Order: sequence, then structure tokens, then C-alpha cells
Amino acid sequence: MSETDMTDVGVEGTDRNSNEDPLLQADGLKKYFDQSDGMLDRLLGPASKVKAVDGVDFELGRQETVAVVGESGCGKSTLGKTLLNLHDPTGGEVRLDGTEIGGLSDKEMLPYRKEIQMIFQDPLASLNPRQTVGDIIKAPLEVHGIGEDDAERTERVRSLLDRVGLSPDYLERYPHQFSGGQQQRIGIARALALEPRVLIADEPVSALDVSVQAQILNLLNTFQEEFGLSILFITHDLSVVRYIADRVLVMYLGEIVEAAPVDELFENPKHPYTQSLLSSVPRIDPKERSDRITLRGVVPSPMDPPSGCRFHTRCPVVIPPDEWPGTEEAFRFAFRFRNQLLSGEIDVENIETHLEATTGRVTTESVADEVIADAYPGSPENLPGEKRDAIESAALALAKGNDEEAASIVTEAFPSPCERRMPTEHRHASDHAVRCHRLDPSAPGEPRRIGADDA
Amino acid sequence: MSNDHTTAGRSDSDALDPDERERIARRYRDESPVESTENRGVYRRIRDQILSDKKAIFGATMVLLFVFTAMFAPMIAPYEQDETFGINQEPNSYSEGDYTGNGEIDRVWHVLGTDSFGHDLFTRIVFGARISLLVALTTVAFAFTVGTAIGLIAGYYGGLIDELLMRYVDFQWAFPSIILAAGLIAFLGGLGVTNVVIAIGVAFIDDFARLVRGEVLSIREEEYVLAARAIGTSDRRIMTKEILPNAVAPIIVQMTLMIPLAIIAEAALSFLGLGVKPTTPTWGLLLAEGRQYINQAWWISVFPGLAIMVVVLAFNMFGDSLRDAFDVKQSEVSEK
Repeated sequence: MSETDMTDVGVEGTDRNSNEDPLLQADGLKKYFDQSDGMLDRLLGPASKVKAVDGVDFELGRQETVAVVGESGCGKSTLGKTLLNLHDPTGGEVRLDGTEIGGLSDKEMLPYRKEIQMIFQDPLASLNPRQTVGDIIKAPLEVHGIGEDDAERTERVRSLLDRVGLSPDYLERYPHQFSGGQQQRIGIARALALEPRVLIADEPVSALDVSVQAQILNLLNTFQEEFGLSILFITHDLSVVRYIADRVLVMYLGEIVEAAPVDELFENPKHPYTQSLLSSVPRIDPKERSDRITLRGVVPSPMDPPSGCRFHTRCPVVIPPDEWPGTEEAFRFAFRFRNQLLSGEIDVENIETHLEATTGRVTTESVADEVIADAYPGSPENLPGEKRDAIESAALALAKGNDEEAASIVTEAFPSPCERRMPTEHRHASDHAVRCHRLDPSAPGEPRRIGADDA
Repeated sequence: MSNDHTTAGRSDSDALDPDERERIARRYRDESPVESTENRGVYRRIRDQILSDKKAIFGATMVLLFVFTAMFAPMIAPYEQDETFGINQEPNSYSEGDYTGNGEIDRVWHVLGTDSFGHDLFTRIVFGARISLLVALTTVAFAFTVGTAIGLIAGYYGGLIDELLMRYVDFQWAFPSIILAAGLIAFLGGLGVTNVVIAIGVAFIDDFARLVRGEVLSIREEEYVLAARAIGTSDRRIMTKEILPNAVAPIIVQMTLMIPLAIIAEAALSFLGLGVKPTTPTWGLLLAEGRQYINQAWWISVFPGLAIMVVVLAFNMFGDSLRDAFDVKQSEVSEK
């Protein structure tokens, strides 16, 4: 299939080659990893899948820098690698300048690799220890047949080294002879050797010293201006984001939960997850410091992501059901208890050992009391009677070892609309999209909750 | 990334005027790379490791001696390899007779005695070193080439290709190599060095295939392999230029450890009468001949046996030490 053919196939009625189109676009992109090890596993039932990237849409414009932020394991690196076809996408589309490139074979992908390049998190690990710097940077030129002969390619490599701020005389040196920052410069030189239009930077400064980070970021900024690069900047470091990005995508468990221009996101974060991420950024000015929102609970496994809104297990502002008789705060405490119980975080054996050691006496009741004291923030006193009973009977069931009974009691007593329905994308402003029931007027619960609890 | 960047935002980068940038760039250009002689150091460290280990020095010396003997066999051996003297002469004895054909009686010294055909044993052993070395090197080279290719392909592609190739290797591994070699010689038909090399070489493929596959499985996951793919590097180039050079150390060690095994296998095949032509001087054949006369002439089988033992031991000692030297290097590299 020729290049033009593919363009035509990807058109869907509009001319995607026009200049208004985003340079790089993902549409419902998915990447699941198969966890089964071999043939036997496959025979023994449906394979468990890690849903690393689960339906991601985004656009990267010309000369734009878009940052993808999120915790470790949220799928942001997988997103970068899937865009480059280093992982085969499980579903969805990736379009480069209107041409569908998702799932192309290595051979079909070859011409597009000139356009889209990558730099890696660990600069040393991404450089072959057995090759000289010259060999490393020359490799892309050789693979794509750029340059007449070896001498010309060497000349190009020398000028690339010079542009990234390294002496051209370092050609014959090996990667381990350089400092971390210099190694990352080599990685950048390799990525830019093909003069790509899109650069995917996967945590390019996370492994570097803070002082060196700024140099590398400045270097990227310079190249963006010179080459008209578009950069997809993957990071967990929000202070870096503010410095380099035009727009930010916040990722949680394989989904994008909020997308906004950088200033808008920092000044007016809407999603509770974004708010808690931002509250963790260290600030020098005490006036700028806000109360930290600490996320409790473990990050759920991407193998079995929570139903509905994936953030509901850790959300500090989870929505109570309409018929909830008590206060929202009381509901959140109860909901936290429920989630700890469901995720198996409550260690009954440990509690028993602890009781044995301190009081010498272990009864089911004392264990149940201890479970509540341990897992319920505060005291369940302010809960409506019936709900308090649910907590107590669940704790008792757990103490008796009836884990399933305990789980069904709490699931029944403390439901939330957040776990029932997937939040749909809500546009707060034309360029600010959020996925949260709190902000969605069409979501269950009362629309007046919008903004009521916002920080 | 410092905090003033956070608060000042992007304006900070805009504020950098070109002169300032150039100044910064120059500063980092002037910063020389971390001074390190590690690269040359690799070889130096291997040398130091070998020199600091008495067994390794012994091994290396004997290996060199062996190679030297094989190369200059005609100059080292006192007589021609086919010359015959008195049969079953003891070590340190003399044959008397007209061996030069000039009508005079010669007195010929046999340092290790003679065999049942009257060949000078020392001469036979010296020439036997040639066959042993030739067979060992070509066998290992053959097994290395084929085994490495199998291991590379199986490890890199994985999946069905891996399953098929490794099941073959498993099959071969489970099969006694000397019997496989004997079977191959019967299949190839006839005696001769080439057949011996092919037979033993095939029997050794599995060792290299397993080793290389294991290395490839771990190296394949390295980020520089991913980086090579991101550039668009072809599979073949990734295998030969990115992965193989990083697996060289264990392969070299494996080769030094396979050479003595090849020598033993060749001797065993010759001993069984499946090796080279019976008139060729090899250590295994000498052993086999001597077996019949072990009561009357112990030296015929003992000296070739000693030669095999010393050479095998030497290669093993050298190989072990080499492996230790490479291990040190690998840990240092990963620590950076």
C-alpha cells in the first residue's frame, strides 16, 4: 500500500492533510499486555490483560509541546511507545499528519520513523555500551541511507554533537565515559539526526540532576524553535511540565482524566486527581502553598481497573448516592473503609498478632473493633445508625474470616455513582476537558455539586 | 529543574538572550567527559586477572605451548612422523639400525619410547597436537557459528520460532553427544578430519545455542535495543550490531571451555576407531593402540593420555579465569 493510498483510507470524508490538522493524533488508542505466559496459560482460560493504555484521545499540534503526566504505572510510557509503534496498539488509531500509522509493521513504519523520534528516560541504558558515540549517532543516518558516504555521515555527526553542546572530538568515546547530562545530549543528537517533526520524550530529565535538567530542557526548547519540533513530553514531574509544556494531559490508570493548557491546569485544576497531584508540587513561596491532598489507598492494578470512574477508590471527593442519609464527609470515611476492605489492605492476621502481644486476649469482637479503629478514619459515631451497623457487621465478618460476606456487606451499604458509571468527557472550556462525575451536569447526582467542593 | 523555574514559568527561558545561551553552551562544551581509561582498562583488567591467578598463568602457558607445538611440529619433532624404529621400545632407550639408508648403523634415542609399529612416541604426540588443535578450533568455530545463529534468532524472535528451535536443541541436548557424533560419522560415511569436525561440531551446537539465547533474552529488553528499533533499525542489524557485541564475553568464555571438550571428543572418536584415518597420528588413536599392549608397553597409552589431560586442564583453567575476569567487568559496567 503506498503512502497516498493510506492517506486516502484515513480520511473519513475530510481532508486531513490540511494544515489545520494536528501533526500527531491518537484516537481511542489502546494497548493491553497479555499476562499469560505460554500455551498452557492460554488453554486454562481467558488471559488476564494489563490495560496499560485504555482509550486515549489526544492531539499534538505543530511546534506544540504537550506534556503527559501521571504516577508511575499509569501507562504514560506505554502511550509514548505505542505511538511510535514500538508496541503494537491493541485498538484505536494513530495518525501522523493525517496518515494512519498505528499497527504498521516495522518495514511499513520505516519511512515514518524519520518524522517521529524518541528520547529515553535512562540516558546510559539507551546507549549501547559497546558502540562509540559516533557509531550511535551515525546509526539512524545509515539505516535511512542519509548521506553519500561514511565521511559525509561522520561530518553530520560532528555537527550534531556540536549542536547539542558536545565537542565533536568525542566521536570515538564510549557512553560510560560521559556524565548523565552529556549522555542525554547524545540521546538527543541521535533522535535529531533524522530531523524529525515529532519528538517523544519519555521522562528525559527524570534521571538527571536538577541543575542538569534545566540545561536539557533549554536544549529541547532551542531545538523546538530551530526545527519546528512538536514534543510529547512524558513526565511525572509537574515543575518540569510548567516550564516546558503548552498543554498538559493528566493520565490515571491508562486514561486521560484531564486535558488543559498548562496555565489553566495549574491555576484551575478541575479533576480531584489533578488537584492532588498539583498540591504535591513543592513551592518556595509559602503563600502559594496549598494544603496537600494526600491520596490514600494503593494504586489499583491495571489488570483489573476499578469500575466506573477508575479514580473512585482513591478519590478524596467521591460522590455519595442520592439516598445517602448522612454528610458527605461521613460517606467518604465509610467509603474509604469499604475500599480498604475490598482491596484486601486490612490484614486481620497482623491485627490478631498485635492484639495478642499487647493485651494477651484475642476475641472476634476485639479484633473487629481493632479493624474499625485501623481502617476507619476517625470514628463511625457520626454515621447514621444503619450504616454504622453495616461497618460493624462487616468488621465482625472479616474478623471471623468471612471475607466475602464482609465484602458484600460494604458493597451494598456504601455504593457510589462514581463506581457505577464511566464519567464522560466534560468540556469546562473549549480547550479544557475533564472526566469526572462532579463536573458533568448530565452525571448522576445533583448538578449543583459542580464546583461546590472545588479547592 | 529548580524552583524559580516553577514560579517564574516559561518566561525564564524566553529571558535567555542568545549571548547567554551561547555562553552556557560553551561552558558545557568545555566540560570534558568523565576521565576514564575504562575502555583500555577492560583488556588490562583481564590481563591483571590472569597474571594474579597462578592456575590461569599455568593454563595460559600450557595453552601457548600447545599451540606453539602444533604450529611448529615438524621442527620440534626429532624424526619424521612415519619413520619406524624398533617396536615397543621403553622411554629413554635407543634403537639401533640403518635408518638413514647410508649403510651405517645409527643409534636413535627415544625419549618416550616407541609404539607397536616402531614410531617414535614423542614425534607422534607432537604431530598429534596438530590434529587435536585443528579439530578443536574448527569444531568450535563451526558449533559457534551455527549455535549462535540459532540462539540469536530463537531469543530475538521468541514465540513459535523459539519453540521450534529450542525443542530441537533440547532434543540434541538430551542425546549423548558422543553417540550423536558416532551416528553422524556413520551417516556421513568414511573417516577423515572433515567428518570428525562436522560430527563433533553438530554435537556442540546446543551449548552455544542455549548460552546465546539466554544472553539475547536479557539483552533484547535493554533500552538501547528499543532505541535502535525507534530509529528503524532492521532486525538483522539489531541482532548483529546491537545484541551480539554485548554477548561476546560469555561466548568467548564458552569457546575456551568447549575446546578441551572437542579435544576429548576427537580422542574418544579416534579411540573408537571412528575418527581420522588409522595412520594419522592423533592422541586418541595412540591411546587405542596402546590399550592392547598395556601390560608390555604402558608408555604407549600413558603418554598420549597425559598429553590430553594436561592440555584439557590448561584450557579449563584458562577459561575459568577468563570467565572471572569478564564477570568483574560486567558488574562494573552496570554500576557505571
